[in-house]
Amino acid sequence: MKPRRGTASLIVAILVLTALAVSLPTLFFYVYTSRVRQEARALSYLEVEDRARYVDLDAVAVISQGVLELVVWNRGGKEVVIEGVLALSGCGSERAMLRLSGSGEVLRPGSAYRLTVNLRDPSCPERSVGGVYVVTSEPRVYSVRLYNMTAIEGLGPAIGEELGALVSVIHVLIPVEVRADPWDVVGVLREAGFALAEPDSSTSPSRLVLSGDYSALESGVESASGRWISRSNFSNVEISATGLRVRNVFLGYDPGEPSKYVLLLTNDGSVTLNVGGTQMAFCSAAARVKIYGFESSNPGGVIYVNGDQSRFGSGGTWIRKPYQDVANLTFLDRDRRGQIALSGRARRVEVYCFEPGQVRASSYAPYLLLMNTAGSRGAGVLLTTIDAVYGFSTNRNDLSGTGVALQDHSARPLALVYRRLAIDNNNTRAVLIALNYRFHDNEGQDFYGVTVDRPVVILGLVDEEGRILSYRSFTFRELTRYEDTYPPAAQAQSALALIPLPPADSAGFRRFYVFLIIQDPYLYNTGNSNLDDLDLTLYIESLAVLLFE
Amino acid sequence: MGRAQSTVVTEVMLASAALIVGMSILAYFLSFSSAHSQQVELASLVNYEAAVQVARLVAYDNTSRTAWLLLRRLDETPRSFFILVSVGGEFLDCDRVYVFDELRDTNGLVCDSDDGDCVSTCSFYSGAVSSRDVMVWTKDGPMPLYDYLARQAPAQIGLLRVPYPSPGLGYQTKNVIVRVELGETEASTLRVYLGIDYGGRIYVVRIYEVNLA
Repeated sequence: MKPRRGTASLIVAILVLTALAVSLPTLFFYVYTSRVRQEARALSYLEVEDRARYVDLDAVAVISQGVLELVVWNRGGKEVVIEGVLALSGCGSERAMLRLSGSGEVLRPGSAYRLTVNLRDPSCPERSVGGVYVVTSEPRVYSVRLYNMTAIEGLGPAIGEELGALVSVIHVLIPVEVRADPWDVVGVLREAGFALAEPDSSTSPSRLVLSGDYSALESGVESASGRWISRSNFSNVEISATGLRVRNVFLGYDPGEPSKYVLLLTNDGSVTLNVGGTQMAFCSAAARVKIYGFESSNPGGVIYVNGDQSRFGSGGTWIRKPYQDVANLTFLDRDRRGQIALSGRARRVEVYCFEPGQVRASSYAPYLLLMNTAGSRGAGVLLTTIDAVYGFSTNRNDLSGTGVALQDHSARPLALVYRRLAIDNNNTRAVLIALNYRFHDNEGQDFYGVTVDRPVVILGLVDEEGRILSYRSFTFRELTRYEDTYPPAAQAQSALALIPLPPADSAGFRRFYVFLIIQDPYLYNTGNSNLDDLDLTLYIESLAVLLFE
Repeated sequence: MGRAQSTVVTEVMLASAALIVGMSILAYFLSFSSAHSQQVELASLVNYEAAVQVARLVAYDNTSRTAWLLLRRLDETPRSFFILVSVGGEFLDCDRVYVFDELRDTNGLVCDSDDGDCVSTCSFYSGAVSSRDVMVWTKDGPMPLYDYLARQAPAQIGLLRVPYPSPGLGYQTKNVIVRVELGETEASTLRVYLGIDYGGRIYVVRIYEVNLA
């Protein structure tokens, strides 16, 4: 066969193109995949190192009589592996790095690692330590705050403030750790680091003056027609009641002993209780009963409630545990009294009676209850001024069955400054305050029942000289949108307030503290007493602070 | 030779010539691709090593002018570290940098002189390299360290090799603790240049800098 002209060129061209067609994709595929593989692996290690940013350790070491005690807290949300603890030490003029531990200890969030090392050494009886370092697996090296007991004893109480100013990413102010008896509201708050303050205005404060004590709370509430007085207190007693007629029940877990319960009963009349085996009748116009550390002896539940059939069924029901919604047991039988039964043992029972008259100043004690609804340790703060029943814009709220006006309001707001967390503008750029709360009121027509909108909650930052930097207020008309007076419902609400700090290089060094003001701002309108006459329930479930450094 | 035969020979010669030219082009392309592939491989390796090698300052003792550093490979592969250490503009030689050997530690003191747990890096590598031959990987590609330091680097600088504590040899730790004798140098900035050996040349993948003041 005779080859046609150009056939050879065509064959060569096909060969070359085939070679290119085969080699090019192969080459590109190899280069691409090898690069992607490498980059993917590199990214995974960058993530490992980046994870270190979210590790939050607090470490303190104390040296006393030649023994070093180290405590490392994991305050972050991730597990941390402690790979070693080192200490820079001196013996005379010689310096050495001590290997105190090579533990590999896994530290879970919220847990602590403790290490005790005897520094006494026959070759060096007087070993000094200049620094202690915790090495983690990320790896990061944490310099431990080191205290020498001799120096601490010389410093006296000032060291307490320094230890209190620990800085971590998230600080939980509420729930409050209960270090005193839960009925000692002042003691619990003070032990937790809260100081009482006096704002210059209850509606738009610009300054807060720190009070030396909590005595201002003794006359902080004003009532419409009288005052509340403490009638009786009982400790470690058997308590029972059957067919007890009350208006409202507030039930929570005891913040000191979550296996037990706390209760606040309110009624616009007398209450009859069997205390320690003796039947006793208390009060006449209105009563508030607070029960702490309650253990029910009835297997049916904590408390038996009979009232509105649509809520509690025909003949009533046992309440087995506290509701998250703190308003769930209010207005038990609509605008009539409900009935409750309970029996068990209580660590403490407090009875407050309403005494009609011209003296109208009361303590906050009858209105406050430290409790929680989660069944864990730590106390939320419940403030309720609701005694009897709801009303509308055409009739009086919280009016007793015998016509006693039971409206109350905060003559002095409950203003608390958290002094244990100092926030400095030289290392903190902004503060985020997070609040979880529930709100309920007895105004059936919500914002139509008031002529003026007033703040119920205010939270913000105040500096050392009492000047408020910024705040976020929560007014009645805002809060009432998320509640229903009847059937009672206090929806879970949360709010964030981000407050940037003035930079230290332009505003100078300033130190700030978080403050929280809660209050019932309404008594009644003197022109029309059916308006501005609401009472309310506020439960501060949690208050947390996040620092941006 | 007939006419037909002559045509066949001519076609075969032309086809052979075309094949040779085609193969040459292909060989050139493959060579070019290979070089490019090596460049890509080096870039990937540098990125990877930059993510994997970590240096930290543990402590600095200003009385004895000693710095304690921690080196770690996050991938835990038993590859040696190639590092350069400078204080101010001075690059330290291997006789001022020591590695803690935990297997030799008997007294709980890290890198002291009593139990032989403090090994000079000179025992792993003793030598200097030209600062023009050490390449720093910048965003614009590799650049000689000499130029990277604005031609302020010494011509010869000490290269330090620090072996990784391989678990196969019985080491429990994943961290290497290095003791650096800063000497009388007044400068307060300590730099650790973390590098890799690629094709007989040192590439700096990451620079860890700490202020000692």
